[in-house]
Formats: sequence, structure tokens, C-alpha cells
Amino acid sequence: MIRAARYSAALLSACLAGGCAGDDTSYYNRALEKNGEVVSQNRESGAESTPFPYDLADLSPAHRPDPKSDEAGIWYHMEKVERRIKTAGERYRNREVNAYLASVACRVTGSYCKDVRIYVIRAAGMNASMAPNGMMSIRTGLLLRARNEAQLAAVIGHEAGHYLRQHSLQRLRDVIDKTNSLVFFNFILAAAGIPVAGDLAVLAALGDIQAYGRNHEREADGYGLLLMSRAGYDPEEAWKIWDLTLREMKATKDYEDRSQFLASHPEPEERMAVLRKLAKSVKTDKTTDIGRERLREIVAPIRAELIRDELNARRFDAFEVLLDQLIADGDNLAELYYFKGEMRRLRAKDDDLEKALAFYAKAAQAPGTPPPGLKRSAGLVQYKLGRIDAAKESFAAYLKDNPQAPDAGIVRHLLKRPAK
Amino acid sequence: MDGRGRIPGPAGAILAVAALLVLGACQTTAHHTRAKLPPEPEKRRIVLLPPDVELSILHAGGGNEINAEWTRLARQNLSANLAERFGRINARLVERKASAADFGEDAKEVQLLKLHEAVGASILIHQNQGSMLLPTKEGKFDWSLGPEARYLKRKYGADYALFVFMRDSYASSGRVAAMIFAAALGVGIRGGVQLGFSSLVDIETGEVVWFNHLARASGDLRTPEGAAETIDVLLASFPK
Amino acid sequence: MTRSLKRIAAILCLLLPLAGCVSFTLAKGGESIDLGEGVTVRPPSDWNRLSLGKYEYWTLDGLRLQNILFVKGAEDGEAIVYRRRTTEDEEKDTFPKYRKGMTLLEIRELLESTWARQEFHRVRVTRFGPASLGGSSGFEIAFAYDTKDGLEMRGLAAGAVVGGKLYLAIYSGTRIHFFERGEKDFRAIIESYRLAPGQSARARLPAPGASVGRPATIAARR
Repeated sequence: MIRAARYSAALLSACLAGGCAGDDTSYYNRALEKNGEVVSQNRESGAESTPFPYDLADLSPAHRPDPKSDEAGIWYHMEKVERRIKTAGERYRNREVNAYLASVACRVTGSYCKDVRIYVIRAAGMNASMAPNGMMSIRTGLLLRARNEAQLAAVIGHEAGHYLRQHSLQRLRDVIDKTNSLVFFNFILAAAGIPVAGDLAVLAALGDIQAYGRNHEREADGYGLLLMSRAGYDPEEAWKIWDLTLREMKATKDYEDRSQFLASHPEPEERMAVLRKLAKSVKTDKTTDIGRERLREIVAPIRAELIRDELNARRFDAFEVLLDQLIADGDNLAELYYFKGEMRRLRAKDDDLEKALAFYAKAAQAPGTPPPGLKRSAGLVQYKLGRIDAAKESFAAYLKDNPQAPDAGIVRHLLKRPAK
Repeated sequence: MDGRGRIPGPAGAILAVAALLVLGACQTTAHHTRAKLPPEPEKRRIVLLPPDVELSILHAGGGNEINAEWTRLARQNLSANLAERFGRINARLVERKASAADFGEDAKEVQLLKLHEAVGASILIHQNQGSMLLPTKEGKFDWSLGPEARYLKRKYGADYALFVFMRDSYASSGRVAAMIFAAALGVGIRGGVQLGFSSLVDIETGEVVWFNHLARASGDLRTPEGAAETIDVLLASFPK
Repeated sequence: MTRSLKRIAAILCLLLPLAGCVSFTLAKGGESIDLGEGVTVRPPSDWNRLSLGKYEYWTLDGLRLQNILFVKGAEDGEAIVYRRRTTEDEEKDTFPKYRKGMTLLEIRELLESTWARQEFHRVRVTRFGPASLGGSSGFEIAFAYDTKDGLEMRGLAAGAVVGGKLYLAIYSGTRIHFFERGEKDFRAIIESYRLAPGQSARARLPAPGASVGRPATIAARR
């Protein structure tokens, strides 16, 4: 009964994460120091790059647990979840994006490529998670935050690290406890018409909770670096994605979110510092791929809808940080200034509306292609500020450019308001 | 769970309310619109859609997990028992091997399966005791997947589709649930909990011709005998 | 408490009053039904009603299969779905709110962001145009989405702002079978929709000279 009590306590306690061994930054080096050898290169001397002596034999490729084993149960459970994910509403079905992410993951995971299956989930926020049966979920929000393919590889490699080191299995037993109950009662919840019921709660649990201890996260960081370097990516890109995350977090006033994240992850500053340092020791002249163009090409056609998802989350301050980073990158500035305007239009505090107009004007002049709604948004703001003539002009321009727009009827209706 | 066996916090509330919503004082409640299947043998073909069955256990070592082996056994026992049972009433169990729908590739079938789940959940919540009864369905059992169900008829060459959904637990997590169910039912429960529903759909019209749900504190799907017993209960008043 | 469990608990707590104290009542077909807040409708056939004050759900077969949500005058700062007052800041800050003075374009945004927040996926608006509701100038919108589970749904909604308050009737049902089952009735309900004289008098009438032709009513569409 003590076991049961502990299990129940684990189930209900607020802190599912948290390694028991205490904080230990040497975990970063574990990946690099396997078999007692530290990998170090001397780039300046042009020395021959040595093959990485680490040993990833902890989990051999195409690992299938014995059906009678404890692990088999978890595998079976995850297979059920995976079957639901395949046809889930939130799955992002864009072929190019799925194929692209699968190819990056394959490259990063090397000989484990066949074990890994990617599912792209349409959602804001940067999140990726990997289950012990090789199922990886990646949120579309990650595509906005990775500045290049190497940074993407760092995150994928990090998740693969959890998988390869079987962190999942260690932690997942606790997660399965909780989600098993969810699945168990999912049936009842479904009967009550509660919309969130469904096995997706399981994956949400895996993703949101970050159910690994801090040391596991450190270890995964180390493996992420190794895997990406092994695949030829520049490891010095890895720390940068945490830099953006940190800046976003600092901008947000949502304290609860922040502390929940920190309960299960090392401080971003620590990760950035260590990753920067370690990157130097794994980098060779063969690890130089950054892949900015490739990622940019994939994201460009879908970026507007992904940014809209972030805006809908209504975390305006963090959103601005993300947008400013995208502006610094310089792709399709017209689209980005449009969203600067949209954010202010939706927030509508103080002089936001005036500022929104200024951004829409900037978008009209900036290089790139703004989304079709630019003139409509401008018209809307002008209308709200009482500048009816200007609004009419903007609406007319919108209708001229988009005569078949689904909302053309409504816009024409607005056009007919009397001038004030 | 504290020493007195109460589960603190919202999780406890979830379980309690869930139990109250679904479980009445009865253990099983069968509904049907048809007591008999058509007499012609060629109109008595039944395809068993993927049974959604899960068995779990708490090991002495702690931690609860789904037991894959038991679940596999349960499914085997279920299929074997059904085949034999249908044989006795001169109906035929149509084999359904792994289908494209299992991999999300038969979009139509996938939608029908999801729809059935939603209908099953609605029947559970609206057709049984409790405050969620629908006045328009008073005294009636009127549920259907609609004529698009015909797709399954064409695909499997069957007249009816049988859906089975079962959750079965033999140990602590079940005990956790059982403690709550016990409170709701006013019954002392020691063992595991068995929860499930089953429905028979006329896939020519989409009509749900038979539906049963089961919630009780006994039952063992791991052995052929146990499976037979459970199915006896689940398939009570199945059309002949 | 993990976030998922927390969310489920929150929603379940939301439904607790439903489970215990509230039940469905019958809306008799052919009769004029007073929904309160000045709204009356006349359904052609029997429906099941679940009233939660300013928000009301109707269904034939169960809320998950098809339902009409009536929003009877959301005021400035209110959301357009029923929520129990919660102390969670998260809920307060991120749920989209109706604002007085919103144009129809913004009301469409309000609907779409509310749906996103309710985890409707792949939301597609297939039609959005001016229409009248209860004699007031408003809009109608046709849409489709997938539930979190991937069940395909269709929807139809009508709305209008009257006296600074937002009135909505949103119908949705499963693409297979259940949407169709209630569609005709929904159109008839919209055509029969009336706002009490008190409300109508404060309605924002179309400005002189403003003409949209004869606004299409939902009932006219096939």
C-alpha cells in the first residue's frame, strides 16, 4: 500500500519532473566523455578530425521490447497514442513540412533514423517531445524560432538524446501512471462530453510537462550537440535557440509558466553558457552546415499562418520579441511589419491603434509581400479612429486587390457607412 | 491517497464526478431496437471493428502500466469467444484483418470509427440514469451513424458492425478508481474495475440496433473462461 | 498538478453544476420558445434545451454530435462561450472577449480566435456575408473544423450587434450525419428569431443611404 500511496502521490503531485540526484552540470559532458574519452579538436592546427568515440550502444537500432516485459506495456500504450495522433485534428498535414522535418530528423539520428517517426502538430510555442517508441512530435512554433536548420537539428538532436538514453522509459513510467488514468477515464470524460478528452492528452502531457529531470535535460543537451555535429551541422548554433527562448520568457509576465518550465529545465543561461563552451570542443572543419536558406524556403510560404497562431495566443510581449528577431533576420519585412501592426490592433491599448497604422504604412513600403489583409486591417483601424474617408479608401483598395475575398460583402457593407 | 484512502485534489473530483455521471446503480444496461437479426444467414454477417481494449496492472515493484501481453490475450479471447457465440446463433463473424484504417489511411473508415465513438459516448451520457437525459429521446432508443455507414458494408461484406470498448484494471490504479466508484455505488470494492461498452450497428442504415454498457468490479479478460464470462455480461440481450 | 490534469479538472468543475443541478428541458416544436434576454425562436420540431443564463445550448442527439449555441447579448468584455468564473489568470487573459464597437470583421476574428482557443482545428470559413438576424443587420458565416480527436465537423452561424450587445446563434455538427439532421431546423430557427421590442428599438439601424440590397437570410439558402 505504500507503493500505491507513492504512486498516487506521484500521480497527483505538482512536481512530476525534478531529478532526484540534485543539480549536476557534469551531465552535459557525459555525452562527450563516454568511454572515458573527451573529444577535442584543434581546428587551427588543421588536425585530422577524429571520429567521435562516444558510444551510443545503449539502445541499438530497431529496438523492440519483449512483449511480456514492463517496457512492452509502455510501448503498446504509446502505439495507441500514435494511432490517435495520426488522425488527430491538430496534426499539421502539410507534405513539404512533414517531409522536410523527417529528413532533418533522419540526418540527425543517423543509424537510428528508421526508429524515429515525426508528427508535426499545428500549435504556437516551441515544443518538441519524443516518446520511448520513437514517436517524435514537433510543434510548428519551432519552425519560427529556429533561425536555421542547424538550430532545428539541435532541438531534434536533444529530443533524440532523451530517446537514446532511455530517459523516457525512466520517467515515462510515472507519466504513464498519470496518463493511464487519463486514458482510463478518458472514456468517462468523453461520455460527459468534455472536449479535451482523448489520448492526445497523453502527448500533451509528454510535451507540456517536460517530464525529465534537470540532469536528463543536461544530458540530452550534450547528446544533441554530438548528434548534430556528427551529422555535419555547426554545433555553435545550438545555444542560440535558447537565447531566443530566454528573451521571450523574460518578456512574458506569466510567472507561472516560467516557473513551471524552470522546475524541469536548467536555467536557460546555464544551458547557453555550457552549450557555447562545449560546442567548441566538438566542432571540426566538417561540422559547418548551417542551412539557413533551406529552412527559410520551407517556412516562407507558411510563415504568415504560423505567426497568426502565435498572435492568437495573445502573449503580446513575448510575441513582439519573436517578431523583432524575425525582423532582424530580414525575410519578407512587409509581412512582419503587418503583424507588428496586427498585434497593436488587437491589443488596442493607449496609442496602439495609431502605432498600428504606422506599421501598416511601413509594411506597404517595405520589401516583400504583405498578406492580402493589409489594406483591410488599415481600413479597420482608420474606421475605429473615426477617419472614415481614409477607411473607405483602404477598404476600396482591399476590394480592388481581392474582389473574390470571402468577406468582400462585409467590407462593402462597411464602405457604405456615412462619412462623419 | 492519504491514509484514509481519499484522493485529494481535483483528480479526486474528476473521478467522483465521472463516476456519478456514468454509473448508475445498475451494473449493466442494455438497449436495443431489435431483438432479432434477420433470419436469412446471408444477412447475419457481423464484422468486429477494432476492439479498443486495455488491461493494466500494478506490479509489486511499483508503477502501473498497460500489460501488452494480457491485452493481446484479451483480444484473442474476445475474438474467439465471439466467433463461437455467433456460430451458435447462426451468425457469422467476418474477419477484419489489419486495415488501412488502422494506419489512418482509410480516411472514411477512420471518420466512421471516430463518429461511432462520439455516438457511444453520447448514448452513455444521455441514455442512462442521470441528469443529462434528453427529453426528445424519452422512452426511445434512436441512434444512428447515418447512411454513410454503408461504406463499411461494402468494404467488409458484412451486414452489421460490432464495436467493443473495454477498460479493465486489476490493481492499484483500479483500486484508486474503485474506491471512488464504491463511494458512488455504495458498494465495497476490493478488486479491479471493468468498464466498457459495446454496440451493434446495422451498416446498411447506420442504425445502432443494440447497445450495452458495463461497469463492475469483477471480471477477468486474461483467460478464455474469464473472457467468456465478461462477454456474456457485455452481450446480454444481444439480438438473436 | 500537471497542466493537462488541471485543464481537465477545470473543465470538469465547469460541468459539475450541469451534472448535479441542471438538466435538459424540452423545446416543443411549433411553439414559440422564450430564451430569455428578449430572444424568442420557434423550432419546427422538438429540441433539447440546456440553459446557462446568457448562454444556451440546444441539441437533438447530444452536444458532441450537434448543438446550437445561443449567445443572448454578450456585453463589452465578455467571452462568447459559457465559462464558470475562474480565478486562473491564464483563462482571464487569453480568452477572446467581445468589445463594444466591434465591426463585423472583428466579430469574425472573435469567433475564429474563440474557436482556436477551444481547440477547434483546421478551421475553414467557407462563407461570410451580411445577413439579418431578428430584423437587425448582421452577418452569417459558414465554416468547418476538426475536433481535437480529428472528427470532422461543419458549422453555420448568424449574429448581430444590437444595443451594443452581441447576439449569436452558432450551429455545429459532425460532417457525417448529425449536422444535416438539424440543419433545416436551424435555418428555420434563425428565420423565426425575434428580439423583444425593447432591444430592437435600441438597434443600430443601417444608416440612411446605406443599402446592402436585400440582406440574405440564412433561411433562404439551400
